[in-house]
Amino acid sequence: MSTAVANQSVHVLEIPTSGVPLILPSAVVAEIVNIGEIISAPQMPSWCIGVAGWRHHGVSIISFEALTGQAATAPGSRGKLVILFPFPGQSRHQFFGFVSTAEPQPHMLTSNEAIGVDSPVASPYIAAAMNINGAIGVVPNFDNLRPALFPAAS
Amino acid sequence: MAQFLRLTVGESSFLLPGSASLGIEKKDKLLINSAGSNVIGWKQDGNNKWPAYAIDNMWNIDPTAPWDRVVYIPASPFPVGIGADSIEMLSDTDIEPAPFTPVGEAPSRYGHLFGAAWVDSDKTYLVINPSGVAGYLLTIGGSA
Repeated sequence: MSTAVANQSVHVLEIPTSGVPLILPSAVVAEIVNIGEIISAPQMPSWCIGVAGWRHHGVSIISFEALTGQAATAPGSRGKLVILFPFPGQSRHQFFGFVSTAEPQPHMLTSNEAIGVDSPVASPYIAAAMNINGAIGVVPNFDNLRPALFPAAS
Repeated sequence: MAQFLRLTVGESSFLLPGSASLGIEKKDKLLINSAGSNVIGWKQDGNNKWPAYAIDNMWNIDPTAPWDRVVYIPASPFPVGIGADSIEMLSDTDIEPAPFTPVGEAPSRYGHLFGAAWVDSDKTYLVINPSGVAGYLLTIGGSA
């Protein structure tokens, strides 16, 4: 079923991964930074690849590929960390991040440019898929992602 | 300013609030457990024996993991010890961790193992949540 995006513009970031690209509303992104030290994440899920330091905060770094059952590879030298704001209503320190295998690309989407398509990956953490300029990316399902990341607060 | 201990396990280091430490014991001061359970040894305290556990850098309880020191933290019904390669009091009084919530489910009903993180230039340290760690060690490790 194809669903046209509402007739309005929205600024998004296309996050390249080792699997299907992520499409994130720019408003949820706090910052994009180079990958520095990522320390181990003891007793955290395997889709959490570690904890990075960012602006005095420890930020859990999530492999969206691993979370959604896709094959994941370590980012190369062009990789970035995409730091997301805490979910609404959660503590202001609960930032989290995704790994980008290259520099994220901005897009301004209108209903003429982005059409919903079937997701190439079946996962409860994927809300929708979109064809942007010929490439298919997936939008995370934040309603399902939130209790997976922070079950005690959900 | 609060003081912190730095626990080094393999290539990983973690911070423990100094206020949570009941004391550091060297290996030769413990009653070593040769019976093969998760407990690596005990500190004799009167008629009580306080168990200690060795961990790997992912905080899996591993009685075969190398350790040289044990730091005891409060727990019920008795303190528990964390074995580490080295345990040192940090003289830096400018350590100001920020709250940190690990993702996913806590490893035991006592909560997550870490409750804060300190970012020092390009180094990041997870700060131990004493109650979470104590409950985890006693629950997973057993006391025998």
